[in-house]
Amino acid sequence: MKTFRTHIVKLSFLMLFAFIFKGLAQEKEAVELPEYSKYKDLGTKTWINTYGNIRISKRLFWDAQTHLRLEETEATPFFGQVAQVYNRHAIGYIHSKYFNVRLGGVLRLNFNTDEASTDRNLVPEWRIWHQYQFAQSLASMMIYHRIRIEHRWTQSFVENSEYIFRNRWRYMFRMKIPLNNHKLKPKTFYVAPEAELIMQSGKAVVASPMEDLRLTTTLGYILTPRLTVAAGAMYSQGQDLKNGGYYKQSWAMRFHVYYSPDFRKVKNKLPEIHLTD
Amino acid sequence: MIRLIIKPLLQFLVFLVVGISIPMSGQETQTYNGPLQIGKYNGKATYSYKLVENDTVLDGDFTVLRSNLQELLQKQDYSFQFKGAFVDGTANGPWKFQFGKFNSQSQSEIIDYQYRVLVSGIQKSASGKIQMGKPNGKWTILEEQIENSEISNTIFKSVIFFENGVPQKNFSINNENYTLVGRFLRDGLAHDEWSLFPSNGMDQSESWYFKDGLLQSIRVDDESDHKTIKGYKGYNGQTKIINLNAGYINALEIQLSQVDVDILHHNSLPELLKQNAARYQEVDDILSELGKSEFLPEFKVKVPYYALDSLEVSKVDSIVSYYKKANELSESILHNSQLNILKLSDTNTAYQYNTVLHLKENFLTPIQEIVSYDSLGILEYTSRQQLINHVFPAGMPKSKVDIEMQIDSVISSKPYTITSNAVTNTDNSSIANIEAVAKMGYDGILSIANEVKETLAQEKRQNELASLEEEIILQNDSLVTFIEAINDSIPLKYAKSLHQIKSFASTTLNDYSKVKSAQNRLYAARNTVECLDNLNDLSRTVSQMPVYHTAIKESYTDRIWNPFMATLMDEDIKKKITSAYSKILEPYFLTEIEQHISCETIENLNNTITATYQKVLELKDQDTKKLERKLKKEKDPVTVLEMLNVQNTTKQ
Repeated sequence: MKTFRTHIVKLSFLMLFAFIFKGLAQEKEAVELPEYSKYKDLGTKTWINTYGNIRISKRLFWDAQTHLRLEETEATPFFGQVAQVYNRHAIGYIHSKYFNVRLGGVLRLNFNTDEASTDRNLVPEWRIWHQYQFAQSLASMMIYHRIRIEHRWTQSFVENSEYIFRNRWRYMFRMKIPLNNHKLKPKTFYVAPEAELIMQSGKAVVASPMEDLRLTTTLGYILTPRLTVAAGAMYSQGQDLKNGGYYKQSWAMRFHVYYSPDFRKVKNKLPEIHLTD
Repeated sequence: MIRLIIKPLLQFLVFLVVGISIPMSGQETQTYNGPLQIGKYNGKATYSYKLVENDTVLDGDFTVLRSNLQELLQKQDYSFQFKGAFVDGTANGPWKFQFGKFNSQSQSEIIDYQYRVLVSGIQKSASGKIQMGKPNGKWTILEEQIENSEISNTIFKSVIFFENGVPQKNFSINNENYTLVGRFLRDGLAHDEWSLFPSNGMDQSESWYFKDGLLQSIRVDDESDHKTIKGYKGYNGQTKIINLNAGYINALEIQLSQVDVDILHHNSLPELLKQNAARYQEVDDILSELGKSEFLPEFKVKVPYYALDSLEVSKVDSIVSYYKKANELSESILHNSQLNILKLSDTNTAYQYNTVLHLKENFLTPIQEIVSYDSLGILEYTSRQQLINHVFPAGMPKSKVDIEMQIDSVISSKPYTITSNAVTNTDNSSIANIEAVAKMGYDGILSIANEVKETLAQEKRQNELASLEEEIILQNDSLVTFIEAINDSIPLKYAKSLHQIKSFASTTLNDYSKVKSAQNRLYAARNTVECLDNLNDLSRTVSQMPVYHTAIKESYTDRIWNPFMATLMDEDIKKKITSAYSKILEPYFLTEIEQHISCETIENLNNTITATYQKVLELKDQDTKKLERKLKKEKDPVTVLEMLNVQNTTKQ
């Protein structure tokens, strides 16, 4: 727990720095909200994600995620162009079977997907994130509550544009329901419905606190205790940052690979994998 | 009552002495309070001890006791109480040992606000003083019959005075039948009159007169008559001091006439001494467990001593050896059922049988007596002439005899001469002559044994065959019963193998039944028994194979934490090894049983199966990277067995 507390302290400092260096909001022309909320055109995307959890010690692991996100072009739906490349890393701490936390950083490379734009083609986006995940078992299925908080610095594709700072508040509810077994174990198909609400705050956020609501269902297959694959579909909608009256919406195909290797020597891990059960 | 007051006083004194000596010696004396096991006695102990070079050395007061009211009321209780003191690990000071075996019949009384449970049983006690491990002063040993908490009968009582372990002055020992009183010299030798009275006052009494340890005479008093038997009176030669025990009485009887021997109470004097010694031994056993002890009373007497020289000693050894061999042979001939039946109809067998009988009576029986004297160690306590007179009252046996036979009520006689190079000769020493008799007896019996050998061998073969055939039936029955019992509860692939084992057993039995010649039949029977025995073992192993299978699977399963699911999952580890067992070796073993089984290979196959199982279990915790790589490509079971380093001899 000491480690956890240290992390919180470190994080507070980081947040303090972030506020100090944050650029001043620029004067903008007045935004006019529409009379009724309006949905933008439905976009289509493809997300290909790998999730690695690499055990470092009895309770610590390295969370290594790389995501490739594609987007439609006018000609090709779903995967016409590369939209973002994610690199999400963290150090996680397994408190018990039912609770774990992690803290780390994200480097996201944003590609300019506006085919008409003449601005920069690629800008980086930085994040610090921490996550608290609760798991519980209910009958044969598992239920997860995930709270993820992100501190994010983004800039637009316009040349020499400044970073703006926002906080993201994410809560996700997810279930994993085994289909051909009485519990989640190797050689099991499972279905995982999930709902995630992403709220945001920051100076730039005036009338669009709801950044995204993601409704996903995936079908997964546990190959071994260390390797799982899954695929699913996601519908999402959220307010446009510039004008809270407009709602973006999209459909995405998602493909996931989950792997959790353990390179520790056999003699080190044998007595430890059982944790506290 | 006086003892009762003296005892706490003594204990207090011992306590004082121990208390003062502790700070002076500078060694730390510690007190132990807790359970203690002394030989067969297990009780609650309180004692002082010190540590000398990490050894516990008893020093100071010592108490250990046990009694259990619960057990007493339910059934029977064994209680005991040992109380005394030690100095530097050696018993020293007043001691009391008490052993009881009581039952209660659940009778109780209330006296002075206390429940008193009345007990019945036997109480044994020994009390007296010990000086550095040896009895000193008066020792009283008692065994009493207790009925309803009162002494009803004294079963045994001995009172002996000691000085530094040596019995002194007077002593008395009595059991339910006799009382013995006597006297010792200062050096512990029996002296003057030792009297043995019967308790009922009716039987004869004996007075044994010793002079300086040497028995002079025994006077036997009857109601009406008295007789004096001469002991070693007038003997002036070399003497030796020995313990008065059964051996001494035997040595004495060698020189007494049979009439005198019959007059004396048979061994009642040494019997009393033996009972007494047994009780002292009990105390010595306890003291020896705790430290050093020499707690055995030795009642010394003198006997005439006729030493054997080294040549005679070796002759005695060969007498013993001749006797043992001859006795074994004669027993096997005389108890042979075949010969016993045959001698009724066959003259020659009757002749052989009766010759052995004659040799046993005239040669072996006297020699047996010599052998028993030797084992008692009393051969040197009698003159050679007395020995010969006693053992061969009718003179030395002759090598040429007439053997009488009776067949169908017709009595006939035939001479027999022992073929032996041993002869008795008056010029030889007595021991040499006895040796010659022993050898003649042995030679005689040996030559007859050789003559009847074939008869005996055949008998032996038949007996063996009968018992082997019995064994064959038993083994087959047990195999069939076993297989039928588990047939329904075992998976089919194993049941198939078991079925094959069963039918193979019946083929083996069938093959055996076809063997005709007697000689071959014995050989075949032995092999069949072994084969069925091995089949039994194999069937048990096969019945265990499903268990092996699951045990290996369970052993090679690890619980793995899956962080994405937040659950523990079973993971099969070292799959190359487990699949080598379940996909290659196990099917191979079953196929071997079903297709290639033969009596010669069963044992090896069985050993290979169990060894493989053990080996696979062992490999789980070993570094097997290399082996797993090699197993990846290998499909041949024999090579896999080699890789696992399991001795496989089934193919050889």
